[in-house]
Amino acid sequence: MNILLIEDDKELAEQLVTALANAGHETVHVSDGEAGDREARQTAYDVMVVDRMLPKLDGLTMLMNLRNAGIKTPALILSALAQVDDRVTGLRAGGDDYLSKPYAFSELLARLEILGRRNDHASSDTSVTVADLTLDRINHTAERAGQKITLQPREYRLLEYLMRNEGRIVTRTMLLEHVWDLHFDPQTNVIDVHISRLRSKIDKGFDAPLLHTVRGRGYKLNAPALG
Amino acid sequence: MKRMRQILRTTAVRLTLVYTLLFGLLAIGVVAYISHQTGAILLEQFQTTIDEEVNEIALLSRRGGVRRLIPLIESRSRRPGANLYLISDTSGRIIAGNVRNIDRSLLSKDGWRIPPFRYVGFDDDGRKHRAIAKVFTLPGDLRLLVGRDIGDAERFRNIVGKASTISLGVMVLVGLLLWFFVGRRALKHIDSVSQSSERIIAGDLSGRLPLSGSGDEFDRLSTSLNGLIARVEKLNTSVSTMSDSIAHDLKTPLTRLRNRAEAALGKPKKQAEEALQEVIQDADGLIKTFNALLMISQVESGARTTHFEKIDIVPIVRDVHELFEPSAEEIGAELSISVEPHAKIRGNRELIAQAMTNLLDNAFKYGATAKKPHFDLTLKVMGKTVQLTVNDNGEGISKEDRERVRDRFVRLDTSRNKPGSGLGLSLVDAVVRLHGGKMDLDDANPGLSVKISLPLSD
Repeated sequence: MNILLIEDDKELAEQLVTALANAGHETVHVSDGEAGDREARQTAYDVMVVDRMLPKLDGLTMLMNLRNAGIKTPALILSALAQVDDRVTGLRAGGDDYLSKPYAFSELLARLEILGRRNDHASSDTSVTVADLTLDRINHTAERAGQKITLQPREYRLLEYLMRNEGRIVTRTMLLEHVWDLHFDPQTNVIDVHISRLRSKIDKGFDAPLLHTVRGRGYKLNAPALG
Repeated sequence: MKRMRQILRTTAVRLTLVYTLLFGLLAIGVVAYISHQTGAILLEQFQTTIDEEVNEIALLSRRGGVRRLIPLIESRSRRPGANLYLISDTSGRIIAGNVRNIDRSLLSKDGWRIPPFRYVGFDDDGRKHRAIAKVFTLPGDLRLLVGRDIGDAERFRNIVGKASTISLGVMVLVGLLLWFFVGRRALKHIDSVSQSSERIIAGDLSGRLPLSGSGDEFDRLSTSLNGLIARVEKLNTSVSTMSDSIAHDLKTPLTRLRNRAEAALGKPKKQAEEALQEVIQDADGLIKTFNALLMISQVESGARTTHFEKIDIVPIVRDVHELFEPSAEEIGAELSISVEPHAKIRGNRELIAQAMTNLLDNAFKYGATAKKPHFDLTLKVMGKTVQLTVNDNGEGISKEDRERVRDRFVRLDTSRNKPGSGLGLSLVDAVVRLHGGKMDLDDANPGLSVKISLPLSD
């Protein structure tokens, strides 16, 4: 992915650029709001990372200007302030996701990868398929290798989110956000239990598991590698 | 000398000086007015007396002639406290009366001699006295002078003047002395207060400003300042306790993280990778702890900045219940829920949800040890409050520890071996307080019962 990083902390920015490069992404870094504005208008990036507090032009104003100018590049807002309402303010200004410092790099990476390719399975499709698993978006049911799987409403949402982001890591925080609409760090293993329930429905009795645990990071649903 | 200058600089002393000056001027004016008026009244009285006597003598002289007038004047002259009398011929020779010597020109024509003149009487040793008089011409070309010595009046006026001056002087002096001492006392008090303040500023927050015990305005000021210092001291203590616990509680996981990273250095690739995964997990745990800490302090300081709206708390409770249901099933526990249809409060959904999650998380952590664990989640509307209760049947918390566990990083000895940061209940407490409610910990017989009361919105 091509990533635009707008961050005034030089050291942090360098680390991020390196880490993103290791994960296979190309990053352009600018360190103030005006440069960010210019850069975002000139080049079509897949995703941009915007620090809230920037010299010259603050992150939120910059983002609002861009949105008003019709620039739709998905944006993840980074903030040192983690006021309870900050997330809401950030999203209202045109941000697509919000992360407050301190954060784990894996969390940032997972979110960026999903933001940058979020239109893979448009939400208007009536069904999603990964390998031999198909999710019916109209009847909220699933089928694997011809076997019907009954899903509870929450299980449906969990599976839908995982399938929509096929092949990409989703963190527990992201699941809590998108499936339960709760925006905080789950300090508990509640999500894991939901996942293992879902796993028992979609993977139990089949040769190749689809739902994988990525240690220390989260979960990933993908088709088994061929051969 | 320096002290004197300091005293002079006090407001009390400055005011005193101004007042004394004004009062002094006013008093001088009053004294002058009184003595002037006294003099004028006496003079007028004298004039009336003289007029009456002159008329009387004129009448007598017309009736009995000058021959009988002279003995009359002589006899009147001898009365004690007599007026002044003088009869002279045209050449100015004194024929009768009690005046020995006088400026003869005073007798040259009839009428009042008002500005006091000097004369010498018979009864003393030639000292000159002052008097006023009226002169008129008797038949037979004699001049009669009837007058009045004004010595008494002048003495009276002097006495009034002197008495006023003395009392005024005494007043001014006493005033000055009084204020000197008052000012010095005030200064002394202020000095001791500023000395104590300096000690406090230097860092000794246990110090207090001195009280004189008189309950005066200085004492009242010192008392309220002492209250202020006590509050600062309390905040300071809690801040330093907090940073102590932060330092202490973060040191352990940081050390562990460091050691793991170090151990990973020498290992073959496969094992090193595993070790690094653990390092990442440790770091994630630290980040979570920091986030929780930040969250708590933001909630605690956020009374004015957090956006509140009218929300129904029942769906939140249901959501959280649903979130934990599989976990309960997994450990073979029962998780019951009993709620009312609606309960509207003014608040923040995220915070309430997080608080509920923390409570259930705690219940699961400490209640799962029971033989047949069960957790009860209840929501009741009682009058103007909504009461949320989370019960478990685990070990519970002993009475003496129930207050303590609200504090940050407090983990009871029984839970040291369990995962957790010791921040869960602190956040719940902060959230509940932000919403104007309260949290009570109670015995669930057995187990812990956490009761939260929140004000209902109308």
